[in-house]
Amino acid sequence: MALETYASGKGDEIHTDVLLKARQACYKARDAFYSCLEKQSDKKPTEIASVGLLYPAECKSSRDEYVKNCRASWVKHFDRQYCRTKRTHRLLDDRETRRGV
Amino acid sequence: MPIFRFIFFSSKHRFTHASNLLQRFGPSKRTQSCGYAKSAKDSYTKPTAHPIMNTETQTSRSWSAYVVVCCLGFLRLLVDMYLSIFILRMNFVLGGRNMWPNSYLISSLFLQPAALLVFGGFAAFVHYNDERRAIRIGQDNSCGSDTVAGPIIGGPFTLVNTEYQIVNEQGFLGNWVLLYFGYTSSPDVGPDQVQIMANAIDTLELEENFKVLPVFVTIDPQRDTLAHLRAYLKEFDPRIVGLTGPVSAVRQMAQEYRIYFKKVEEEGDDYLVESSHNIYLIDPKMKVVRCFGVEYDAEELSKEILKELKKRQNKAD
Repeated sequence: MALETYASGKGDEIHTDVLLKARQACYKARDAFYSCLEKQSDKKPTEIASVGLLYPAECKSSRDEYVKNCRASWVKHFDRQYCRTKRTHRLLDDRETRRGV
Repeated sequence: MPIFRFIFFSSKHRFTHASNLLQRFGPSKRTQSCGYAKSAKDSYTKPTAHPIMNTETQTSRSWSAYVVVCCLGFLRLLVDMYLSIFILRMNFVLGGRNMWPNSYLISSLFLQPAALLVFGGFAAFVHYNDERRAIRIGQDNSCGSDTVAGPIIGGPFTLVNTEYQIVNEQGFLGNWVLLYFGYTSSPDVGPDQVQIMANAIDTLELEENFKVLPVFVTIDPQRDTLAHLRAYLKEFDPRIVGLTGPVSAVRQMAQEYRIYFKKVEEEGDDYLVESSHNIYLIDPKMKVVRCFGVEYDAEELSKEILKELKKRQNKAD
């Protein structure tokens, strides 16, 4: 039965890149990159990050650090989340400058 | 001519008089209707004495009201039929000159009373239905809101735990269990939820001396091997039981516990699993009692679990 083969302990590798230390390093790099983005928000975004996020060339080093420390799917997930929050903040804060709605 | 008008209006007035009678008998302002299935059999199977109005005489009085209305309706129909026959004969007798056009006669003397009778019957039926469904105030306190059960979540399962033992749901009988379906490669929500679970378990054990067993079932069995699962869960709390198994067994259990999960963002070997992040609280009989979403943090979770426990103890006493 499949359960017995499972219980025998086949193929037991531990993926260390999702354990606690790796997670914390990833979160730190991610926060560093996003704060760089916030600080340089007046510069023109030229580089392509992922899932439609652009960033200025000044933040390239923190971007590399970020990508190195996190899994690719996590990078995409966090970028998508960042874009979404950015968009809602823009919609919420922009009431005075936009006419109409 | 005025004679007929007089009779017409008097019969109408008789109907409104009857409906007034009905309203005085119907205590629609003093009832509350609560639930469908329970009230129907309750209000007629146990008529208890009511402080304001005696239920027994109440229902018998409303029955008599219906009887009165029906009798009056039939009486009126009979009267109108005789009247119409009489008028038609008069019309015929008085010769070619029609006193009234036939259509008017027919409509006023046949259709109108018939329509009024139908409407009266419908109103009576609606009122009877209301009475049947209503619960008198002070009679039935359990409104059905705390006895209503949701969908039956849960079922038998057979998986392997991190000590390489095969477990099924019998092994958890007699314990309160906090169950979470997650996967180790979750970027943010997964670790947060497991941390919340661990904190709540700690709070409950230290402050209330109440042991709840945390269980983590992985919905990503292809990547979460047993050793990996053990290493992952050890970082949160050594008491968390990790369960995994072949894909079919995990899918079966997730289906029984109504958990949605799906692989997204697949890029070769790397993917995320979208899932419904719910923590289930299960009682010692392996029945799912409550479901907690991501909006609960550790303190709220422990408070809610305590509430459930107290409720269970109160019911047992």
